[in-house]
Amino acid sequence: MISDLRTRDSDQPILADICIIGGGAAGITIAHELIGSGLSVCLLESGGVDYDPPTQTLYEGITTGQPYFPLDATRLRYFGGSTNHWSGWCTPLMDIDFKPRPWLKDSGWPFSAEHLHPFYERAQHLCRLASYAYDRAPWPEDPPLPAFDPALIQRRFWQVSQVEPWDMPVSFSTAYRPALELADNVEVILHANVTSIEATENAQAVDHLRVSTLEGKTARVQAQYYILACGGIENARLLLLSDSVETAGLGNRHDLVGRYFQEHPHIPVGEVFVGSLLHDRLQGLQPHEHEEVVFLAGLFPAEDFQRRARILNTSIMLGDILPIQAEHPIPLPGRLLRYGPGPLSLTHSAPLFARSEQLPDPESRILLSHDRDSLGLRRPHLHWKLNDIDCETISVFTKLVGAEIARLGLGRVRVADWLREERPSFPPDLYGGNHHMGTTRMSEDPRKGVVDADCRVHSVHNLFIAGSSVFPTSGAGNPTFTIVALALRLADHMKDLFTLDHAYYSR
Amino acid sequence: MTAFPASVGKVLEGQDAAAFPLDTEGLSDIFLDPLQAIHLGRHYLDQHEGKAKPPLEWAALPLGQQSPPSRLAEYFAKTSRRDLQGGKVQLVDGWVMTPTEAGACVWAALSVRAIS
Ligand SMILES: Cc1cc2nc3c(=O)[nH]c(=O)nc-3n(C[C@H](O)[C@H](O)[C@H](O)COP(=O)(O)OP(=O)(O)OC[C@H]3O[C@@H](n4cnc5c(N)ncnc54)[C@H](O)[C@@H]3O)c2cc1C
Repeated sequence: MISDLRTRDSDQPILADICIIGGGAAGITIAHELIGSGLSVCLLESGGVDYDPPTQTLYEGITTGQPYFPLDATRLRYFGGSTNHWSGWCTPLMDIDFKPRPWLKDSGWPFSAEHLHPFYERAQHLCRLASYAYDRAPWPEDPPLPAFDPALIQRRFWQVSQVEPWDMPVSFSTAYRPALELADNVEVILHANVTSIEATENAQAVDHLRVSTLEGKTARVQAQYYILACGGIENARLLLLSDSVETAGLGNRHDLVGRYFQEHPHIPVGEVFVGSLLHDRLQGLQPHEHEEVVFLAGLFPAEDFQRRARILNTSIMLGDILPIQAEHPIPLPGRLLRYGPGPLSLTHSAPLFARSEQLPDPESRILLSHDRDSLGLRRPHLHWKLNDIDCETISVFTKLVGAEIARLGLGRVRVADWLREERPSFPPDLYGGNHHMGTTRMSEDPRKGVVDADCRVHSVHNLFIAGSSVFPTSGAGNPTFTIVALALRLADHMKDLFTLDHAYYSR
Repeated sequence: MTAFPASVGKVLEGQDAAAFPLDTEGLSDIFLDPLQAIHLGRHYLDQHEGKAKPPLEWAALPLGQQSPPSRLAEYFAKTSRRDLQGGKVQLVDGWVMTPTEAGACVWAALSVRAIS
């Protein structure tokens, strides 16, 4: 069922077994998964079903440090969340992304990639993707790739759904609203802004939520379990705002909430020039449509190479391989490799683009600013900080790709200007992927993480967090596929909890 | 020079060279246009003016104008292969090259300077 707090009759507290805060990819996945579970579920969503400027302005905030998108442009505040305008790129994190990497401080998840695989396979269906294949092409006629040394470079895919009628990536609102509308054990309440999470006196549990419409109508929500699913910036903000019992913010005894903000730095890294007969060999790195899903290929540093070079994970993608136009001749030095007719002439080029992991750094963080939104709540302040290793990773991998292309005699890479310095630093046109990660990171150790391996806030026994804020590290893959996999895992966990609770009470 | 950690080179060491097919023809192509080699070599020297000398081994390259071009190409192909297997690359005007290739360009630029 879908209702609206503005027109809801009762003044009584809203009661549920499970209350989900936020209706984006994470919140919708959990609510959808709990349909027919016999549990009463309430999903509180700040916005309506359409974009609404006054609600969207609640997302404004300030940014300092590395220049970033305005905070109200990098996410959407209505039902479906940022999946209403996302690009749909999906890929699982790689095995190495979950492992502790001794050369990277604060790396390592509490579980392995293998543990998450069954959930990724289920997420595949929810994200409307094709076969579960990311390190090999699932179509028979895959063109042979250049023989990159597998100890150095590997090819992996992203999948992007194309949903009728516009061939757009799946919107979680459009796809799952009909089922939620029909569900009798789930109530989605629109225009319900959670303004604080009120803890019990000992701060070991959530007692209730305070909720408000933009017009000032308030409500109180009580549930046995609460799941915070408002996105990577807002999850931290809401915990910091919930300071009536724990003055530093709920779940923030160890000053970790909001810290370790990570993005995926996105940046052009150069151009590859290839020969007339050889550019076919790069076709396996071009987009391919299969089972009505677009597969995008990228080059990633092999696990072994990351370990030996002591870098983060990263990826390089080729843009379209196009013939070099006479009006844009190959730059002078490139003609070194013979320009003109002949099998080894450089006749085609493609831009190279990196999307990369960022080092988790406690100084890169979400804080509360002194400005207030129209609900009277302090706005978020993002201080985005990058480190030398973030830049070094992209620099080393770009040169490795260049060296491999040279070794295979395919052509030559010319790196972007900013990479030509002896000690490169990021240029101002670096941007992120609208991926907000790490601000309520996961660790078994309460001194190192806000949530445990079950995504439960350490010390607050009935509060869970869903979304990329729980990622301890972020790999080089886009986050939402992992968000959905973790949300499915959390939904299973909630069902298990109630089975256990039921067994306990019926003894 | 960006040298990947020696350990990366080690990944490649002791393995059958055939496992790392190298298009020697592609590499030797660099010598088809000596003017461009000179251009790049000058670029390198400008960039490193006063900061670094070209590595000694470059000066010792067994070249001389007398060397037949095919032997030259063969020499560079061989050492370039060694460079790549050792994980070494050099940026010259943004181009990812092996140090041997870069050395060849510098050598070409220096020989012109010596003549003129
Ligand atoms: C332009 C763009 C392109 C992107 N492309 C990709 C891509 O290709 N691949 C990828 O993996 N990711 C992509 N992303 C990121 C992706 O959209 C997010 O990772 C994903 O939507 C996060 O899901 P979520 O449920 O955690 O948060 P969100 O989708 O942000 O949902 C949070 C929900 O919580 C609600 N909410 C917030 N505060 C409150 C409150 N106080 N009370 C009640 N409700 C509240 C919001 O209204 C919203 O509906 C893109 C993002 C953008 C902006």
